[in-house]
Amino acid sequence: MIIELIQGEGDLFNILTVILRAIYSFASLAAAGLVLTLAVLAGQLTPEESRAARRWLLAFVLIGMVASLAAWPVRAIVLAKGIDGLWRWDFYPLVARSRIGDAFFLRMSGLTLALFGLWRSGAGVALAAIGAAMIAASYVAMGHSTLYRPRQELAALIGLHLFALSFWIGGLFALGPITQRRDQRSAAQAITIWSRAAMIAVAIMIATG
Amino acid sequence: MIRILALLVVLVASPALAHSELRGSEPSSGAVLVASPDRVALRFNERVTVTTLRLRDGRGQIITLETSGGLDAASEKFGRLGTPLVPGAYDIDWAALSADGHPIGGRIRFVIQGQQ
Repeated sequence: MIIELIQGEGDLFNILTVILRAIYSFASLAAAGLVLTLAVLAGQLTPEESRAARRWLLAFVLIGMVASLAAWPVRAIVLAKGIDGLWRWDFYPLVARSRIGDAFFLRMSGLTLALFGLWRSGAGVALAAIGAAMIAASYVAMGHSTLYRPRQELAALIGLHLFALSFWIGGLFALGPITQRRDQRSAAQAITIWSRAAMIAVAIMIATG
Repeated sequence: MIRILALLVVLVASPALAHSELRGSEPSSGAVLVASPDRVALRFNERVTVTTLRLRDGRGQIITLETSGGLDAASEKFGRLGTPLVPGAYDIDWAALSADGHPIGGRIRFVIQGQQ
């Protein structure tokens, strides 16, 4: 993504496409990570910390959705090499049928399911976790590696890698309020539980490259 | 354990792969021609969907090209010229949806010098 920005023609809409991709990538992975963190730290968060984490979750879901939707007209402009691309209605189904379209629908479905993480119940956590997995899978649909063999193995490795990475990205937003707790013993307990899961995530990231 | 993990990483690591590439064009980039071509062409390393193929003269005026294939994926795209081009500088602006779904594009410049 950064290389595209550097090597690009300097076209404003190309640059905007890359920026929007960075925004929805970060936001969707952060949302997935917050879902996983809320599952791992269930029962360890105070009501205020839980509310704060859920506010972050809602914010990242909305940012991810808005940036993902905003990327469509920008892509149409890039494909038309002009602002008239906005009205090229034949371009939108073309993008929808492409791997970018596959990734978009997976990511939006995942972000929608992640909203169930706002619901404080086991069912809500389960649905949201499925959403987190779909968000990770959307990067498999979009990536280059699965154009080449061995496809299924690479897809699984990439999906796992991003699933584990999202735990770190989203988890850091939930940890902040915990470190501010007056009861340092309970704070240490919560952080210890998170850290154990984080070490597993690191191992998965290393193993999956 | 570390050796096994390292081996896994090496085995599954794949080279960083780019989007589809333009492999050649008619006229080629930077070409100096003595006569007008009867067509412009783009050739790619794999099937892509060319969404824009536009020819402009030195003043930025668009010159009509007759293209075929619509938005069908192909490794080559042609645009036929209705009338011969006069001597001058020209730009071919193109954009396409590559095999991995990402937009690609570029500009090819050529000059028609005319008879010396």
